[in-house]
Amino acid sequence: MANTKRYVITAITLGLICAASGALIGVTNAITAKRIDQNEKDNIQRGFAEIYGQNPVVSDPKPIEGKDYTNQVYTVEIEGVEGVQYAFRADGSNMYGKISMLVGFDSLNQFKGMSIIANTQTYASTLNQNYIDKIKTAENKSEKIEDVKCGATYGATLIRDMIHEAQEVAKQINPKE
Amino acid sequence: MKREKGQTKKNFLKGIIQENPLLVSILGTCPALATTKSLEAAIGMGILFTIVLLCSNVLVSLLRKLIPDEIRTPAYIVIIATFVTMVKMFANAFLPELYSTLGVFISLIVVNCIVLGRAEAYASKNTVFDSFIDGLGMGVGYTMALCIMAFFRELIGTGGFTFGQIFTFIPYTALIIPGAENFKISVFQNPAGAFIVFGLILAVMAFYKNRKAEMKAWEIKQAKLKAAEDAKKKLEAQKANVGGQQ
Repeated sequence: MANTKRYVITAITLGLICAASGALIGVTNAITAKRIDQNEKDNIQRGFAEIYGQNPVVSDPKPIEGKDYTNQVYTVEIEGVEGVQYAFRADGSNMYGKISMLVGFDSLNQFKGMSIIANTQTYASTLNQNYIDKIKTAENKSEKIEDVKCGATYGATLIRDMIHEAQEVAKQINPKE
Repeated sequence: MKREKGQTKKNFLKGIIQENPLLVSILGTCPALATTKSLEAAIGMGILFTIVLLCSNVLVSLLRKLIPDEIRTPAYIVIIATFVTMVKMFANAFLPELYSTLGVFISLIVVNCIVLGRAEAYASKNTVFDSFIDGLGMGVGYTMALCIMAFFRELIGTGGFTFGQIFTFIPYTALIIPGAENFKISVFQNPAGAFIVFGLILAVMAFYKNRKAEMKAWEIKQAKLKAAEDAKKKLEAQKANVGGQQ
């Protein structure tokens, strides 16, 4: 009997602590959710500006099913540039964390650029410094994508695969051959 | 219960010097090696860590008589994880640059030995006020240790300091030490550099600790010698007195 009472008290205490924790997290989520959404939207806007230059006209995202990573497509129009260009949102993860990014292509499906929306890889700074920044500043970006040996090879390989998949999807949506 | 005079100060200072969690207890080394590339990131990590430690210490101390012994550890982990999740959400919302710079290391505060260690070893046995002071001292001590590491890594690795990249509410400032840019050693920005700096700081700490211990031993030895000499003199004086009387 005494044991049963002890078990019940223990269970109730742990249950109450968990409930209080859940409530606290819920309140925090209510406070921060809007701001986090806004931050992500701002990040995406910044991403488009980074890939296509200032003021591209970007459509609302449409869901798309890529093989592993690509999940949204945007059409991008730029004043003075002929044809519609496509950009994709890709989300991927490996044992070191998650990466969300925008991958942009021109109207001929050539890789134009990419922008990281979120990167929770443990080697995030190495990945940025030794891979992502080098692609962004390279003359021949497509060639630089393949060079994944950078001190954060798993993350770089993930990004490379995400770009390749997005390019495949772009070719299906916008066949040029 | 009557408090000893200066106990609060002693309680606070022990986390900074005597029992510094990083430099003396060698706890929480993983985030220390990973987040000390820049002084700004180290300060950010230190602040988030201190908030979690303070809140968890206070709550654990408040609930110390209510939590049964059998579920002490899981209850503490739930409490710590709650605060880490809250801190992570606030950082993501209000300091997105800090959030993306520290990445997974914010979540990893949950498994930081210092937080669970202080909850288990101190907060569960002491008053709320004492636990608050202990958390504050340990947090400040950890932040200081991170900042010392980051100071050397950023200075040697980049030749200066930059501010305003993570805490975007302060204006962007790049302090480049004249001439230092030509002598920067980029390995100090890599994990290997973190190990080198950490090792050197520990070596300096050990040197001073050993020197202090040696000084103390020398003082004790000197005091013993002096006492022996005094005793010898006293004995000789007594002998001389006895000889004179005879």
